[in-house]
Amino acid sequence: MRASEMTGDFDVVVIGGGHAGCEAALAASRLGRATLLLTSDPGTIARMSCNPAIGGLAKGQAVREIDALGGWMGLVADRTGIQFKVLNASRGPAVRGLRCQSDKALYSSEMARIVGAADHLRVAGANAVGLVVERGRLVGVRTGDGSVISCGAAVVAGGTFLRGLIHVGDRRREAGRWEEPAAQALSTALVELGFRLARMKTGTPPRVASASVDRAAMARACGDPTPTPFSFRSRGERFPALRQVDCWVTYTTRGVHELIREALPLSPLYSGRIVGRGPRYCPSIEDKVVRFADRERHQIFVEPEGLSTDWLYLNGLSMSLPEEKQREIVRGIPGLERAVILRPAYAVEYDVIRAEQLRVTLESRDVPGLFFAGQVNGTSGYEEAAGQGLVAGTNAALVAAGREQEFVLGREEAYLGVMIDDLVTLGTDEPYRLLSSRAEHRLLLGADSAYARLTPRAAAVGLIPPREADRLLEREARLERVKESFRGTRLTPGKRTQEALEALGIPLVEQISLAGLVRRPEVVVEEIREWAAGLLSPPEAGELLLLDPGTLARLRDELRYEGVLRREREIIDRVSRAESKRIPDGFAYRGLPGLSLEAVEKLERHRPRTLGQASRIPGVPASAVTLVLAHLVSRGKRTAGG
Amino acid sequence: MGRLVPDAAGLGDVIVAPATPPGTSALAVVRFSGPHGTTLPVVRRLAPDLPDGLLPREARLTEVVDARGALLDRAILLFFEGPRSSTGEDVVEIHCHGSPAVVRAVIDAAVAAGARPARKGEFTRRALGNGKLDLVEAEGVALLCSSESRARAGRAIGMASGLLSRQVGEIRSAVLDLLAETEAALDFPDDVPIAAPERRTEEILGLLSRLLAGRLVQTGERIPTVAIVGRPNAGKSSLFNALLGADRAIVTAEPGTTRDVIGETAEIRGEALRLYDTAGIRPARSEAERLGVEAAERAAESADLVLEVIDGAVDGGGPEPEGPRADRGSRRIVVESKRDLWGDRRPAREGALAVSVVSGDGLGDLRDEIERALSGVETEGEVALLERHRRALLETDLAVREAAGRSEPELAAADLRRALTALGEITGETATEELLDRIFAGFCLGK
Ligand SMILES: Cc1cc2nc3c(=O)[nH]c(=O)nc-3n(C[C@H](O)[C@H](O)[C@H](O)COP(=O)(O)OP(=O)(O)OC[C@H]3O[C@@H](n4cnc5c(N)ncnc54)[C@H](O)[C@@H]3O)c2cc1C
Ligand SMILES: Nc1nc2c(ncn2[C@@H]2O[C@H](COP(=O)(O)OP(=O)(O)OP(=O)(O)O)[C@@H](O)[C@H]2O)c(=O)[nH]1
Ligand SMILES: [Mg+2]
Repeated sequence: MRASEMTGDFDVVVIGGGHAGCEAALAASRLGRATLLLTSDPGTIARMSCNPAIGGLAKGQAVREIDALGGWMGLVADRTGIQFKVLNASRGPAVRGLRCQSDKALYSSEMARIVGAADHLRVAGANAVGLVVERGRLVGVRTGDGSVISCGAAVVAGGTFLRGLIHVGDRRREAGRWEEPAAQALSTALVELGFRLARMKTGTPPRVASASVDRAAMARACGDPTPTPFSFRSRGERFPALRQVDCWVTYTTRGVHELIREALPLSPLYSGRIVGRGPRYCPSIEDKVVRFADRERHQIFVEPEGLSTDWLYLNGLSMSLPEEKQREIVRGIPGLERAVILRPAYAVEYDVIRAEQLRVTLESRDVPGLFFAGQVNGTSGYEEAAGQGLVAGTNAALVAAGREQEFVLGREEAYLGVMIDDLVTLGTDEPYRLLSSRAEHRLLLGADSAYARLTPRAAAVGLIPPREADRLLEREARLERVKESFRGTRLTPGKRTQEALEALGIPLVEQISLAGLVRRPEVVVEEIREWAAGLLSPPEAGELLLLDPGTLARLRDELRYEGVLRREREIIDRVSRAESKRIPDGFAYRGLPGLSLEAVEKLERHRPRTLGQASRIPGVPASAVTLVLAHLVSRGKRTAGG
Repeated sequence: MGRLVPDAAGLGDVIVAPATPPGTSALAVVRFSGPHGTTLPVVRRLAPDLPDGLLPREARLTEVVDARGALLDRAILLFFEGPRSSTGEDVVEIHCHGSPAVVRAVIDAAVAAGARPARKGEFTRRALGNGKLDLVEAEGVALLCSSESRARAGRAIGMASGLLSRQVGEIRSAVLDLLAETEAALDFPDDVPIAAPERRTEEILGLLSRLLAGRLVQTGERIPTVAIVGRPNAGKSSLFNALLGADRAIVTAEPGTTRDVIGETAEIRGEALRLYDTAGIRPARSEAERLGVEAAERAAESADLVLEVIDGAVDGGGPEPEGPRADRGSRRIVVESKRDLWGDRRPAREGALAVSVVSGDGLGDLRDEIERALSGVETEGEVALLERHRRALLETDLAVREAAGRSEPELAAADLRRALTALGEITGETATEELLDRIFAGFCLGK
């Protein structure tokens, strides 16, 4: 579409076709809103700026959540994945993380195809340079050629592009990604509207030519023999769709560390030329060498960027040293002695908005109708971006439709809820990455339970068609029924059962329920069906036989962790009743006896939506929150009592 | 910005109240508290000769006058500038003569000058809201203010002074360290080895058991209760009368004399307490006796202190009566009776205190023991606890032990978070409604 054709009205305009922007645009259009995805270059839609992988610890959970909410990242990852692996596979279900290597080019083109085919969604190649605000509300987006697209809501998803500045040693240039122009004007427009911005930085490692790498000197890293898909929707498709490949592992050496240490004065990070804050959790190799000075070596994963490309990604080697130095360092690593660098590592500095200025819907507190999602909110990572995009796009569509409804995920409900709550209540000083430790109720947020947790929410707001939700939830309901039948079937140590079980290596000594038996460590998931079917009533056994292998593993896990989960829910009930207590909009903190002026000011600035959020605002003492709660409780009692 | 005009109950007002108990005394203190810059202007109307550059924490002798300028008293005035004050606001104390009439006149004049009489608990509440007190400390203050007895006041001080909060804080940070290690190993399995947590766990459990050794303090106006229990004819009623200093209970040589619980207020070492005599505990022979024995058991269970009387004149003294459960935190003293009959032949039984009501031997020691058991004289490192603190500490203890027994780190992490939640409930960091219900039941906040 050309700029001159864009002047028609849209309900929602999404600025930026990255991972956040794509999910935002798809969500908004799914709710039936006329949506425009405005992105500098439609050829770069859903480009993977950094590593060729989706998922990982906590991130894998986020992808499942996106899928359960009707988002697309999981399905696209399934269709374009070239290696699938469950991380932490030997651990409990709550801390496993699904990850895949992706064919970058195919990922991007598949997402672009889906975006292009979606109803109510149009894509335009143009730069957003300004935002039009009337009577305090967002009413339009201004593009580079001076035209204004009017809309009911807009989502800013500009990623690393806002005043992006790329560093390679002391060479810098304005860019949002390698050879892609930065977005200068949008930052200025945001500042003019009164938004507080901050500067952050992140880096990406060198890419080397596959043919120049000596695999004999490296260890092979294979995917899982039976790959697990992210999405429930890939069930009907061939999976994995692409040929699966291996990755390779090598290590840095002391000599390499010495080289890096010597080169530190040349690193813009250390010479002070980069002012933005980098992520502690994804440190550059300079950082690692300085901070973990006693480590003898650091692991480097050598990952293919696709099936039909010669590019390899050196995971673990992000840096911003000059190109010559990079070559020396790379070539000091076993297996890479003759590596040809196709693109040097670089760091990018960019503007983010301070997310404390947003509500939990990701809408600006001060400019209704204006939403923000993705890296521009201070996060890092495709999954984090996509999750925010989904939430922001959904809420933007609701606002554009004039609906009161809000789409908000709770901390005990989803990793995405934890992330957004952290961002808008705490803000972040460094690129924020999802970690499983950020979720205090992690046990309830296992990847497997995503559909049970979230699909009903998605269906209720219209993100998933009711038929599809029913189909999905039918699987959940069946699992529940089977669990119930396992709990209800008691086994007495009779001769027949005993013999049958002993043959399987599961001795039976006392009366036990089938559920209790399944909790035993010696139980093998794959065998459950064989021996358990005979112990259930025929209709119950029929249901058991309908469970697919993945669901069967869940049966075992969920029965095994049942007690722990129950207690976790009890705590949530106890704490959350207070935590999730809504603080009414416009609550008069100033009228509250005993509250300090400082606390009042903080609370008024943050306008927490719930008591739990209030308690997480830095600088608000717990006792102040207690007073607010006391007030809400006593007021509740008064109203309840008439 | 929100509304700038403070509403009547809100931020802008200066509150005033007597800080010393009513009645005649040498001195009485009238205290004011208001947001920064608001208290002194009000006080100046009562004390017009106050100099402009009043220094914080400097005592000033000044005249206090009413609205028409009539002299009410010559008094010492102290100014504490917020946030370095008891409420975190600007606080002024007027130390005037301790007559109810003077205090009333000063308060009236203060109200005429623009102050508002404080509601019950309002100073505490402001201190709480300014982060000057945490919940435990506020509870301690409330307890301190309502303590009639020296003993209870002694214990409340541990809470009010932040001793308990500090110790809870210490445990909390140890649990956090352990949690952080567990979490790091989960999030960065390649970089962080799973730490061996045994040493930390032991440290935490050690801290907890020290705190749990603390004595239970009752909230509310109740005075401490002491129940005398034991086998029939052990000498309970005789001891009851001896401690009371009056022949209140019937004493006979026949077992089973006392059939019901008898309560009397006694004074021991200057402290009031409620003393209960009970029926001897044995398999009941009649309905009346059965009811008596049940009542005795109940009295023992709800008492703060149990005196368990063993008959020194009988071999073995019979089986031990069922003791009150230790988790309630009640204490017991074992008394071996009738020392005059056996004292020259053998020593007292292990752990028992020998007493004779005939010779009076051991009664003094027993009074000392009773006082010690009920008082806040804290053995080293011991802090008094409220029931809800104890419950939370027990929950923490359980959670930490469970964590130590886990093979899956994510489950250990969940246990440790549960421990943190429980600890947070003590100091108010974890706000739960249940917590508030419990607090507001016993203590005047948030009205
Ligand atoms: C150098 C580099 C290193 C990185 N390193 C890591 C890492 O180590 N770990 C990690 O997890 N993540 C890393 N990432 C981050 C990861 O790429 C992002 O988190 C993710 O892509 C963010 O998605 P997004 O949708 O928010 O933005 P992006 O993927 O950046 O997409 C933004 C899109 O918006 C478009 N756009 C921007 N401004 C405008 C405008 N004004 N008008 C129209 N279109 C506009 C751009 O063209 C682009 O298509 C790195 C990214 C870069 C560039
Ligand atoms: N010599 C001596 N006799 C005592 C002493 N204390 C109690 N007695 C006697 O022991 C008998 C029982 O005393 P009580 O005080 O009635 O005993 P009790 O435990 O109340 O008995 P019940 O009410 O029947 O359960 C009485 O004859 C008392 O005189 C003592 O210290 N020395
Ligand atoms: Mg008696």
